[in-house]
Amino acid sequence: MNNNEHFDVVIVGAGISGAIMAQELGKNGKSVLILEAGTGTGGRFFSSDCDAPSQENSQPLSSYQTYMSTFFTALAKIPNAPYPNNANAPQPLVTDLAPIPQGQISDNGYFVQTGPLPFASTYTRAEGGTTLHWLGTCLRMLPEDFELKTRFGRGLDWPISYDELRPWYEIAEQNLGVSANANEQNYQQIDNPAVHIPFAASYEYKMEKIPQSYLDQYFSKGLAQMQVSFEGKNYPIDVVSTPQARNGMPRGDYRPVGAVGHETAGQRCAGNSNCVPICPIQAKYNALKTLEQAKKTGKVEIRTQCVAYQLETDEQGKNIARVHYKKYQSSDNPDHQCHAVSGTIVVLASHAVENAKLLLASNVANSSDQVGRNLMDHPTMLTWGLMPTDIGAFRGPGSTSGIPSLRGGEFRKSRAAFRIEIGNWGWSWPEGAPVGTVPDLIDEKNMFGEQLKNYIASVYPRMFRFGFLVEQLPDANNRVTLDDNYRDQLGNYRPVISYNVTDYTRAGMAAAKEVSDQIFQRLGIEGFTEYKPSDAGYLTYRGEGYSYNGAGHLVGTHIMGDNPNTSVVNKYQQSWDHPNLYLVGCGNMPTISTSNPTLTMAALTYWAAQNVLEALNPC
Amino acid sequence: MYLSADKQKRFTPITSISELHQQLQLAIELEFSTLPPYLSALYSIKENTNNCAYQVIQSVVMEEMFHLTNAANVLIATGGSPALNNTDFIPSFPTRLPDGEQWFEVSLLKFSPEALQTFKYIEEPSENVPGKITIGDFYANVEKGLTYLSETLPPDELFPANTGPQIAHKYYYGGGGEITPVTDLDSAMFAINAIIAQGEGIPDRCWDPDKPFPLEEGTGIASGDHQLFMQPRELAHYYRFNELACGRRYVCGDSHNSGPTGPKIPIDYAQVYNMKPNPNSGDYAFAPELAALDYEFNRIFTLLLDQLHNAFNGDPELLVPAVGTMFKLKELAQELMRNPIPDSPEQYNAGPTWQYLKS
Amino acid sequence: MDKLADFYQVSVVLTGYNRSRLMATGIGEEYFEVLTSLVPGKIIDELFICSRALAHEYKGEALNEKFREQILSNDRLGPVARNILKMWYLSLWYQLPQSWRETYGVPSQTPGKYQDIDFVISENAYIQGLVWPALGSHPMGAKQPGYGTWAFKPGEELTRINLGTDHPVSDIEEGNLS
Repeated sequence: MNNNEHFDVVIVGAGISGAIMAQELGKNGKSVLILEAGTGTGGRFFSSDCDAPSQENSQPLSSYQTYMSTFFTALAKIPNAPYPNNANAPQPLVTDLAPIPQGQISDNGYFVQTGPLPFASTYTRAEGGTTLHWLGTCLRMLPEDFELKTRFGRGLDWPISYDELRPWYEIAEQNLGVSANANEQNYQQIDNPAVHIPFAASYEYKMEKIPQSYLDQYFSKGLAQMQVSFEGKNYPIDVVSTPQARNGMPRGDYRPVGAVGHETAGQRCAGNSNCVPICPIQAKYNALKTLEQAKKTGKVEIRTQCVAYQLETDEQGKNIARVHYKKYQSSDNPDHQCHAVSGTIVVLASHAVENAKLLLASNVANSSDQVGRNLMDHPTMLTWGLMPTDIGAFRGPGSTSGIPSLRGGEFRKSRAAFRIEIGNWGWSWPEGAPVGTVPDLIDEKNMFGEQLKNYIASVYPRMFRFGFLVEQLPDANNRVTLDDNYRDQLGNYRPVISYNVTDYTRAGMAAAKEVSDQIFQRLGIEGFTEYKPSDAGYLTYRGEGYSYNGAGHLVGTHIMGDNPNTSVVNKYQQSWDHPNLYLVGCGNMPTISTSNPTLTMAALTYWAAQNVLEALNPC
Repeated sequence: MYLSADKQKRFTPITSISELHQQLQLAIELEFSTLPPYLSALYSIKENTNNCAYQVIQSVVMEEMFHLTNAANVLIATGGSPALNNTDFIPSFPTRLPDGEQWFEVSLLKFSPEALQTFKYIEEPSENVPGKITIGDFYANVEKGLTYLSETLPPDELFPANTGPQIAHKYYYGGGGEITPVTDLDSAMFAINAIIAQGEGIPDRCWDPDKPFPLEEGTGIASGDHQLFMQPRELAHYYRFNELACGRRYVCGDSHNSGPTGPKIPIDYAQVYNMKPNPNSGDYAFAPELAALDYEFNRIFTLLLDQLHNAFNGDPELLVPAVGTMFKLKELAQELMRNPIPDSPEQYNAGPTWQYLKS
Repeated sequence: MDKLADFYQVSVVLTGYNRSRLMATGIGEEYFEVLTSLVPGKIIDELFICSRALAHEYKGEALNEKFREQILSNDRLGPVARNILKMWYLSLWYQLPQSWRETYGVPSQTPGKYQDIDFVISENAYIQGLVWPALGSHPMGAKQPGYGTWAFKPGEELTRINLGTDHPVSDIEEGNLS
């Protein structure tokens, strides 16, 4: 096999950041190879029943519809349910989660968890990556989120400011196809200056905001003028539409991008209520769309089923000379061949945990000893209840509004901030409703016939839940490491994860629960929230129990900074140690704050792509 | 579009705005009257079967809605008011098309060779039936009238200011075409040409049935790339239906006369609900549950017509819920079609009756 | 065919949906096939005969009472009836209770098309689950209700959207629906 292949840029990972990088470089004429560890759908939407006579391969090719079929027939409709469980590129599953008994290790899934608390988030290892099952929330970070250390004495400052990132936010919002109204998302209407986000004066999103659900409107009205008090200061409770990478009504001459392989589908969200785990029509952005555009440049090649396992440096240890990968034929079988390719520049875009894994396995880019450290998530606490009236639960995108007015403020000196997400899908997250809860009505409540039908009709449309996305600070002990005893069937490392939630974040959860209680009181919501010690994410704070879930927001592991001794990449997202190595993805983020990280990561990646281009074309 | 002298004789020329409005209203009725036959066939296809046929018929339906919208926009732009909310708007099947095409009858049929034959009649290219009139001929007469009126009336009389709002592009998606605002003769002609081109194809004076279609070489059809079956192509409706009727794809080099010579399209007429032809409420006289389902269908169908009517008469935002109403209609149609009609000697299944319910 | 008719009869009582609505799912025969391949014929016959007899003699609430007494609280028929109900509502076959399996289960389970384990019956079954219409919505991931429909009051059928007039909950803002 030819091991002398050379590309301008070799990218590891065909998720959103790899796709953005590939498209930006390809359209500027650079030759790009993407190595994707998982399997792919090759731009196909349909599993055609068409029997072409010259069809040689009788094996049906996988397609987006294959994912749909897998989803429909999956018993547990978890976020990764539609996507193949591939032993050659294993992925974490929420069904692997369990409390970790003290001093023990939980290794029943892909992650090897050493605790003390389980890391609860998962991701997808397949072409398109985790955007296949993301919700699509596209919030910008607040200006103060970039300066936590300076302003509040907590966490870290970023090496860049909001103002520097702002133009890249605009590019990311345009290319992901975000629907929102700028005059709401700048939060100027919120009576808490800490959360105000300056937008460029003339800036507008390409699509009108996604209609807020009837539930959102109910909250808007019911919570009008409500305030809560923290540390003697009042803060408003404002319901605001959430910006979403979901096709809505286009503004001007913008044309929404439909499904890959079926472009007339997905030009508008159709309310399938299934963004997670899979939008059936791709009205929600996923990275397959950017990959398709990248392929159309004619400069980008995607190789799926190719697991990068080692970065080899040149003799001086300065540059990354070659990327070694294992190519397998079938996900059922560990048989594989080893290959190597070289790139003038190498970009790791394989996800926070996988990037760290590959760097640690290769023993590169880690002079700071920060690789794998500072792993963060949004520990997501749920509260749930029954509304006094039918609010039309189980309709629409997973969330169309939130309460962002508590995202920032002086309280961040003493406890974590949070954003409240209003969930449109009843108790599907906290209780698995309806499929997980109706058996109880039949087996234990002994209902059947009209009685069962009427009960469901009178109760389920009133179900709702809040999600509190609580910020977590960078912590060197929350980390990914490797252990020779834990490998997958290809012989690659499994991530070993140590994780805990500090009192700063726990105090944020306690404050969130108080806000929830006040809202429930105000609207007469019948509460059903229950945190059980048997929950995987159960913890206590000041004697009270709370449970968190994973948000799927894996952040940290190769943070950016302005000091090579304390960070892995510089502000250009270039490795301090290896000039031709760039790291992209949420791993670069020094803090997580209160926004879902994908938009910020995408903005950073557009910037990184420009930096790579400039490195390839020195003036 | 070109209209032969012979065909021109079969139409009354349009000489006034009110005659124009009448013909455009007829155009809306004409476009809408194709939907029950197309949708009856489409929804009779069993779940996850006949995918190619399903995609093809669905693409035509989307374009018929586009045509309907274009006709309505021209009517609104010339100061008229589309009327959809009455019992006469929708014909009872079997029917002749409202534009005077007397030479064939349209029935509501399950997906079948007979249905496809009807669909081909509906979309028949004018040149192919020299002695008969087609939808294209009907629109050619409208275009002729528009041109005549533009030459004889001041512009602000034909296209007055302060008309009701037209349907804007943002309300229309999912294939079919790009809605462009109608403000003058050119934009009106553009909107109507789009209808003719998609339906039976824009003919010219030198119609050559042996001229190959403008299908490109690299389409992948020859290589048997089966994904291509699902790709939308710019073939006129007539030819898309002919592909299904012949069970083969047109490929590069094929012409009207050659017919499709490409790879086979798998079609399984057994995977179709056996809907009774032209279902009517009398079929459910002794099946109250089916009568109730059909009533619910018609109630939602009536809601759809009311929403469309109001959307075309000052309230375009109503197109947002109208799309949802169309989805609901599909579910109800399929629910009917999955139900056998009790004691039917032919073992027919039920089907929707497409009636506007008087309020 | 008679047994399929019996299956619908017992399903009507169990689900609270009429026969046409059940047939409208297009999935009844598949459920019937699952049932007959996992539950001994004798028990199914007993269930059908009993249900038919009750329906012949009783109507309405009286039928429900008798149904509870004779079928749902019967240790042999109850679990089978509840599994039929769960198929219709949840599109799943649930493994029958251990005690039932020991006493009445098919003794030698050869791997066939279906096994008595928890499984989603089929793609179409998932899409046709009755729990979704019962709760006033659509199955998640299928039967899409259309753009923006989630903003409307549940069950509301709009024939006018007048911006500026009072919406039941709040004014529909500019940009919300347009």
